[in-house]
Amino acid sequence: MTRPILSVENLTVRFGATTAVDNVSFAVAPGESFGLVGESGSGKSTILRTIMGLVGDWSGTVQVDGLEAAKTPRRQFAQHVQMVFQDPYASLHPRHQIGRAIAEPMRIHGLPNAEARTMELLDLIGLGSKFAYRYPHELSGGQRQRVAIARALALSPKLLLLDEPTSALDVSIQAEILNLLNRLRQELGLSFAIVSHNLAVVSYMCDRLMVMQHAKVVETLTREQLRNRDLNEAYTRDFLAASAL
Amino acid sequence: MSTIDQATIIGGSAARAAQWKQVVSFCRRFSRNPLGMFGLAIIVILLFCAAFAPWLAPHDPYLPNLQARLTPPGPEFWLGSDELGRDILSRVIYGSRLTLLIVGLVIVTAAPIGLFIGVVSGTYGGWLDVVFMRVTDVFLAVPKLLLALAFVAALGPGIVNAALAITLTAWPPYARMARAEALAVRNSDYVNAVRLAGASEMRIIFFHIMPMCMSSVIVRMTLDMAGIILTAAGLGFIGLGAQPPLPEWGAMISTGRKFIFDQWWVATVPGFAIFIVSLGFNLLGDAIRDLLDPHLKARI
Repeated sequence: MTRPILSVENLTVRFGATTAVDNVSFAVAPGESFGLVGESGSGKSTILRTIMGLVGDWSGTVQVDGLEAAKTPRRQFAQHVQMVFQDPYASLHPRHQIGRAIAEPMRIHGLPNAEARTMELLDLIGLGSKFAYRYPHELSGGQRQRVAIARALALSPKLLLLDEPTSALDVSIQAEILNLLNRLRQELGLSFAIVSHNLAVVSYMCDRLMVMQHAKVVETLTREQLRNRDLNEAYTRDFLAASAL
Repeated sequence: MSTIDQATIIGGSAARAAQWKQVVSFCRRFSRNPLGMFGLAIIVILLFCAAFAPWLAPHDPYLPNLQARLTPPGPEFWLGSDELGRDILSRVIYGSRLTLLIVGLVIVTAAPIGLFIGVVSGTYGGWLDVVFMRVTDVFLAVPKLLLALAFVAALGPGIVNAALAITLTAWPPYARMARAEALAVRNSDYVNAVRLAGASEMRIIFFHIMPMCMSSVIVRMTLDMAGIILTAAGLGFIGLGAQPPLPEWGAMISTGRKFIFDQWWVATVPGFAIFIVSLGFNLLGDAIRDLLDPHLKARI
């Protein structure tokens, strides 16, 4: 078996007295797109934030491309995994031009030709280099989310964590962003871990998915199982019925 | 290689053009506020007076003329003369330099100190935050003029010491404000995004959090200037600021106090100068706040 690009074992996250993630384990194979599904507060976003090191109090093992999250310096870790946030209106610095926002990770790592690569990235996400000198408030939500994706790709990571990447966008834009993500996954050989409460998005994007409830894993399904309603747990059935998929 | 260089050059100028567009739009919005423009006009006149004092002043501000002691305003001395026969108009014009010097010294020291302490405190949190904020509390608890008095008494009177003393009392509000802004921003997605990219805390503080605090600090600065002028005049009035024969406005009021019932102009003219300049800074500050305050902007 090939080494998983992301493996999470026995992850438990606590916020004070409440347990946000309770003994969760899963693995994502290279090139795979893995979905985390569940209602609000089920702990799926917390898992992504924990992998990225934004949460303090956790136990278990998180490995990205063989690197232990707890022991790897953030600069090195950053080259293997990046994250796209849910709200494109909050994830870009309001005082920085788009080009600067995309180039910032490369400047932090002292990479050469940051400007030229910024233009390449802008072309790659379908905005074009003229957007480099605009401010975020001059862009629409979908355009901002494209910029956030470009910034996440700046360090050429192999794994992208997507935290509800389209839930803040309207439906027609959602499809554009999802198609862009699928295209990028094929062209760049990326792996995704996608958090969503929208089953339509997950069944469109993900090869496998994990259903969560109250901080625990309910079950793990493949896309075919989801489409054929081959479900084992009552909660999953309720969740599907509620989503009216 | 040359194409990359070219891209960089074009990129540099385009980036500057985009920034320039922001500046132009700011100026256009500012010019729509008549009171703000009035305040700006007062400040521009003040700057003009300070820059061209030797050419604007009709008399020497230091040369006594004992035959012309306490002359009322008239054709020879437009705003009268003081107890040594010096032209008050000339002294007020030269005094604008001292006022600007004090305000400038206080602003360039107090605002950066407060900003730095506040942002570091807000970003790092923990014991550093506790230490910095308790120090700030202590400075805020001491009456402003009293602290300045004690400082000047220890170091001796003079313009620079007065400015330092005012700085000592002026930085804590900046620290408080910058900390509040930093707390609001430090866990925002755009700061987390650069944190995930591996940025050092210093880089995050200087390039990502500080710019978000700047607008509040600038607003506070312009509104503070009036208060600084008043405090400086107060120190001058009780003889701990500028020393004679310097034509500092507060010190001029202080000497005019002796003649206030018979020769009203000696104390009134510098008083009016302080009033007008403070008003100008307040109007300017208010107009800038309307444009820059992030909390107001959200409502418009």
